[in-house]
Amino acid sequence: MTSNIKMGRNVSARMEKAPPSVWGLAWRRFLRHRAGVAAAIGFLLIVLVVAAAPGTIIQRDWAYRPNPLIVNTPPSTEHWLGTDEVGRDILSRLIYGGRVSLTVGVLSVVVSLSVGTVLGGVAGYFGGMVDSIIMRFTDIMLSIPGIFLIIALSVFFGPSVPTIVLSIGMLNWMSVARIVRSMFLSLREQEFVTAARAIGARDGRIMWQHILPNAISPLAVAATLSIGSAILTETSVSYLGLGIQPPMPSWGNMLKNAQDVIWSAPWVATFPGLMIFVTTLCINYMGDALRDALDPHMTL
Amino acid sequence: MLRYIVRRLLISIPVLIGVSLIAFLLVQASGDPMAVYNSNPHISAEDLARLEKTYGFDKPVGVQYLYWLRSTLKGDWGQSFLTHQDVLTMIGQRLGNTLILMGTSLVVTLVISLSLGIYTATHQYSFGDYSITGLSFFGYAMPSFWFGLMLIIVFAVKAKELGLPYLPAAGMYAIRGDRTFGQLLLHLVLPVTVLSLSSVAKYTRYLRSSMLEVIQQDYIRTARAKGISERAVLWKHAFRNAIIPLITLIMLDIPFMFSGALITEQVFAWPGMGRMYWEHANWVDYPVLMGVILLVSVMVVLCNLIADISYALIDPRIRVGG
Repeated sequence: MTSNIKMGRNVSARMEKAPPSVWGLAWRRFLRHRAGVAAAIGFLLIVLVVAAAPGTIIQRDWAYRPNPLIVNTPPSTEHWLGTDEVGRDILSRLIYGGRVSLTVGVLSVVVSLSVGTVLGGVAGYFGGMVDSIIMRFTDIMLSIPGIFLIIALSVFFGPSVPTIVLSIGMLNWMSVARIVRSMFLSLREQEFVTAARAIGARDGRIMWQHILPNAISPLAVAATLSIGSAILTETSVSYLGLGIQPPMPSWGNMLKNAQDVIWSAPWVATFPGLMIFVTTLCINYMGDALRDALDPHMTL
Repeated sequence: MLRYIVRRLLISIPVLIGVSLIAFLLVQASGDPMAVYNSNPHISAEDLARLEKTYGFDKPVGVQYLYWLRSTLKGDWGQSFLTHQDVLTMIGQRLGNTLILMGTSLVVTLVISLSLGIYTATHQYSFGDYSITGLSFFGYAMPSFWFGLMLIIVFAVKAKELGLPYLPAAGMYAIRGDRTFGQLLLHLVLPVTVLSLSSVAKYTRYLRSSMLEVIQQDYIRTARAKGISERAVLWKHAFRNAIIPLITLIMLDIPFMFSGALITEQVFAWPGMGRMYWEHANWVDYPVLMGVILLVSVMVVLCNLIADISYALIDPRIRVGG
């Protein structure tokens, strides 16, 4: 008797607590990936330093003003990472450059996400001729090797931050479009779409309000991983001299001049690349953990 | 089967035309090819105008494109504005070098990633598996030219300082001395390592997940129940099925190795097509640029086609399904 009463009390208590939501489950699955969590903490630390340090702890002068007296000095107590080929402190330049590189990475992913989602969504939702045309166009853009596209765009518009963001965004939208298209193709057959149509919702509203929120999970993973590859692309382009121009620092163009002094001052090349490497590594681990967390087939 | 191939080839033609048109517009828009002569004091304004008329720059862009298309299809790829050499000859000289670099790194990539992929799939969750998977993350995140610079620092600069045998950091052969095969191999070591790194990471992970998926299939269990040795099960059944999607992945990746090769050639001063493109891009030498882009685009389309065909050939289910 008493046991039944105890059970009754437990049952009602359990029923009063809300069931775990989809996002709650995903969050818990994400937390189980130690590497992903560590990477996320590392990435947030980098973002924090890069956002908060310039202007407060680090003076702009240290990163921008050349000082011919201390050109190419190795790491010391005064300059923790040494100085570069015109005498600027490398650590300060790394932090200022981090702002540029991270901004370019995130913004270009925003560009490629927007373009890719629109094109892929339209292609997947309407199907037929529209789909064929858009997919042909995507194939054509995929056939042009990215480097050539970036070189042409940079030489045309002149190298600057908006140009770089646009160029890298234009490179990556194709894979986003493919993902979105396949998701829309499968989702548009679902019953909630038919129901929405039945009550008279217009196509645009259906796409934006109903189908798109269901397609977010693979998009989120693709977006996170794209940030890493966008940062890598920015560094390659800046290395070729087409990206961010000095004196504005970016991790890529710091490497560009470092190759000339590599025999005498190897630290100038080591640290920017190390930052790129560590940041991209954190982003990739985060994206991997995110993919496992959002995977609908995995149980907790 | 034949109809499929023909249909794909026919679709490829408008794709190629589209690519060449977009590339032409981009290259045209990126600058003034007559800038080559700006620093030459002997050229007057009338000469410049005359040159423009000869080259056809005063015509509208669409007409210029059609001229280019017509001569390219006839086999005349034009002459470089910068060096006045025949474009086909220039490409021919450099293409071989790039192919040596790409071919070697492809072979190295395949050997390493196949062995690592099979090992990690069969020894899942072992220490080796975790470390190799971790290393492949590293390979993904590594900026390739920074890796190249680091390799140069370690194996060329520091090794020379310490008096150890060091690896050469630039060019295909030594500046002095004969162009021997041994020299070529030595000079290949560093660039091939850089070029292969991210590909090895990607293919190893892909093969691992592919093999894991295949090993869980029922027919593997049947094969084991029949008493076939584990090694035969692995090679004759699991590996063959797991490698199918990897083949198409590799085929699709080959054209993109060109982009990677461009940067690597820049870092190691390798005299290849990528570097040639880069050197001429700044001068808007558009016969050369269009020639390279066209060549690479043809390769992309061809590789896509071969990938699709090989997929249909190897997996009979694809053929029946249409």
